[in-house]
Amino acid sequence: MSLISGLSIGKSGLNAAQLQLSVTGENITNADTDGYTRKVVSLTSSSRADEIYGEMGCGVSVQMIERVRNVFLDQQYNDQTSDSSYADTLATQYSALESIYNETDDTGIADALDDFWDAWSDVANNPSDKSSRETLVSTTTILIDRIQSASSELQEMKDTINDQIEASVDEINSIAQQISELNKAIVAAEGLDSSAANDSRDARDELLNELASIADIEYIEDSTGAVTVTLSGSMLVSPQSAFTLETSQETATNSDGTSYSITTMHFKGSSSTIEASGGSLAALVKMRDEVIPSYEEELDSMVSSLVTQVNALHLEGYTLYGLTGVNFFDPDGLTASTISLSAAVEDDCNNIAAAQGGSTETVSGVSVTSDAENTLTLTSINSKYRDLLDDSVVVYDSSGNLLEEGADADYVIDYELGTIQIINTTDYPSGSSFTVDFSYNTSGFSGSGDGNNALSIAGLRDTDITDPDDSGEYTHTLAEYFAASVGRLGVESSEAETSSETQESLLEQIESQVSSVSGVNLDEELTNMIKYQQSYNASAKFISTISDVLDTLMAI
Amino acid sequence: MTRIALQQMYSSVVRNVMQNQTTLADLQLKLSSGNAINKLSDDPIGLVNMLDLTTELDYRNQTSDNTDNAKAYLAVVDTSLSGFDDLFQSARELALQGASDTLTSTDRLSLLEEAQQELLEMVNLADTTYKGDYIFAGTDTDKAPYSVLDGTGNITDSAVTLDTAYQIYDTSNEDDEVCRIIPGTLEIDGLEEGTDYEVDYVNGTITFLTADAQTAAAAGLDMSYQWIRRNDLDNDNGEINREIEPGVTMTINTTADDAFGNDQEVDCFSSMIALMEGLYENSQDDIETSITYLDDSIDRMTSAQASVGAKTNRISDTADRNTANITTATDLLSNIQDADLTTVLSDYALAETVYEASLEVATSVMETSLLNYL
Repeated sequence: MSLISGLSIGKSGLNAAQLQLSVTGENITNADTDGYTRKVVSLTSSSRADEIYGEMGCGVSVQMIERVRNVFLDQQYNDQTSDSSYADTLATQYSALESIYNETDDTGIADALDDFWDAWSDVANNPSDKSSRETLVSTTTILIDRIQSASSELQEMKDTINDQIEASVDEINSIAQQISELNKAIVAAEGLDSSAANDSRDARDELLNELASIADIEYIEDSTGAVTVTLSGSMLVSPQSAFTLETSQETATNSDGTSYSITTMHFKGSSSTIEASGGSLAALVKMRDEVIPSYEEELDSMVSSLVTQVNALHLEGYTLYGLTGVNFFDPDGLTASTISLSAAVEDDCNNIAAAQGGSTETVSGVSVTSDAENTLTLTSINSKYRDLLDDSVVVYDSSGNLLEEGADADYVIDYELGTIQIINTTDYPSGSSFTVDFSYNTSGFSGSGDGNNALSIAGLRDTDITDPDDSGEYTHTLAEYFAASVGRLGVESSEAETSSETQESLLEQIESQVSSVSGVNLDEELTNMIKYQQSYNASAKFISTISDVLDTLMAI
Repeated sequence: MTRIALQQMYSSVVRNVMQNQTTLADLQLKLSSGNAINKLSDDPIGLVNMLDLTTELDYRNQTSDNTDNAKAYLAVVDTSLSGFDDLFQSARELALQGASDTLTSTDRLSLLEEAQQELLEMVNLADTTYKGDYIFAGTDTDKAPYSVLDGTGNITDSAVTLDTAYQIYDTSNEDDEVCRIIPGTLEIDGLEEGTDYEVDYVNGTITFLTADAQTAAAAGLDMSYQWIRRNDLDNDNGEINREIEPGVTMTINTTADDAFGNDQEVDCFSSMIALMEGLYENSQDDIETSITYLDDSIDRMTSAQASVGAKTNRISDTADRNTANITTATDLLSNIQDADLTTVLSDYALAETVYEASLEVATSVMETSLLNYL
């Protein structure tokens, strides 16, 4: 070996140490950069063939600057990011859904429903009192307001989700575009001088992870360094270009029959809808198409039972004006968004049908004569004398003898029509006089003091009037049904929360594994810095030593 | 050996500190709101129980209001019936006094005066209202069951015969058949009661005794009197009901028929009229007969009062049970709904300690670096 070549060995040491120091510097400065992968300089000893000694070292050479990265972990990390983002979005949405139902304080629907029944009970207690009727109307208005506001908030939530889906699609397009550009940069850089395009790769890995959090993606890197990304089985980024997703509005039908618009996505130039299978996008779609509609349906079915059952009783009752056949709720408003008071009740609370109508009256000593058909017609005495009570009729003849009822005795009765047919025409030919005692049901308005219909309606609170089983039997009271619906929401929301926490901690584990491999540890870098400094110093010392030796030689 | 990256260390510190903060915030919310359940997912099972209990409690409270209302109503009925009872007892005293041999007709007339006041007071009581509603009118609560009417009248037949009872019709009041005429109030212009005609005060009939009276009747009578009408209400047997306990209703009203009788000839007002007729006509026999009628009225009244008493007892009993149920439900609800302060406070203290510890550790870990020694 020659002394001169010693100098070049020293120089290669200086170069290597310098490069190592600068990579260390980069690692230290990027310690907190998202997606940054720590880099190490890989060195090899260079050698040459010597005539005498065979292979001889000629210093150190830099093979490459490589990223410290485990590609298998990357794949897992992206998959977990999808799962975690799905669970997290679902939990956030559930939490928003929960906040629509204020059932934990006294501003909820359950509370308004209780007040509604109480108000009916108060009307039953004071049927002629205007203020209790006014209270019923205002209490019902509060109930209607709360139901309608829940319904419109549910609808708004679906609209917001549509907006979020639109924004997500924009983001997917932007990310796909960037990945495609990075693909080109990486292929170009690595194809040219087989050096690693480290920073572009870092950026691309970061983008793939962002994409995974929006939707479940698959990707594969080919030999040129370009990645192909597929979204739900369709190609989003090819090695050459990115494909654009577009959104369109479709019409879906609510449980109450009204329609609303949903945002779907498809590739530009294609009509087939792309469904995201994971990530935040899938959670949003599930929320909009499954979860929210199921709660809307339950709310609607509760409203439908409430309106139908209350109206059924109300129609049969009598208003303070003595009218019957008046609806309490608008019979067409059978859904949460359309429920409203009937115009009659809204205009005038005296139209609340608190009275049941009809009562029982007893009369005695009614004189009546049998006609040509041997019939005693009580309605000819008074048109109210019909709808007689069973076993209430007693018939005497003109001399005060009691007649016997029965088909084989003296007479039979048509209770409904109020007629008595004399059968024993031998003793009592037509034209005979009789005295009759009986009780009858009066029909029609029964006075302003009758609150019995209000009492029946108030009794609906404790009656199973909703949620029919297979045989059509109602199984729940409204309060039970609503509590069950809200309870289900609580359970689902709490499950979503737990699942989100689990996924989050799984993600953290993988993140820490990734970080453990690729992240920057400052202490390590500082140690390396000292090492490289020493190495530089040593190489410099070696050069100065060679130089001294050369001086000595020159001085000869 | 695991490498710990800088980011990893910092993010785990931040995560842990945040987690401790969340725990603290949850506990703070429980403390400040006093509620264990602040959103549905806090405790879904507890929430459903809470909603069920709230509904149950609300229902019980409403029935409790209903029983209070019913008790007040029954108290009014009872007061009214007791008033009747007192009046009848004193009317009976009057009758016994009036039946005595030693009394002159003047004495009896002064007793009549007293009896008339009592009768008018009875009509007042029968028309008792509660919150503006007549309590003995069935469901026709806006109509008075009885009225004292000033009548003018005639009989329908123009050709009258002597010694026949003719029904009087009140021409001032829809030509109603008159009954229960208050003795001493009937006057016929130009005719003398007792000499020219006789009156059946209970049934409202008149019998003419002289040819003068016969002529006057045929020409049309100028007649004035006061009578007590049982007003024709369509629904005076209508029931007024209260839901006194979930699913249980009870009829709380007493009908006029129950309290005063439905047979015009022997109802409680007619029994008073009978007494007064005896006093007016100075007939000891009639007075004695009227005592039997008065006793019947007193019996009817006592039985109506007993029924009111039984209803009041039942309601009080139900109300007590209701109160007990309300207390139980309130306790249960409070167990679910209200944050247990002792537990929450001690949890809070613990969470605070953990939070402070995590902050302390974080600072000391983050401060340490190889840089400190270079």
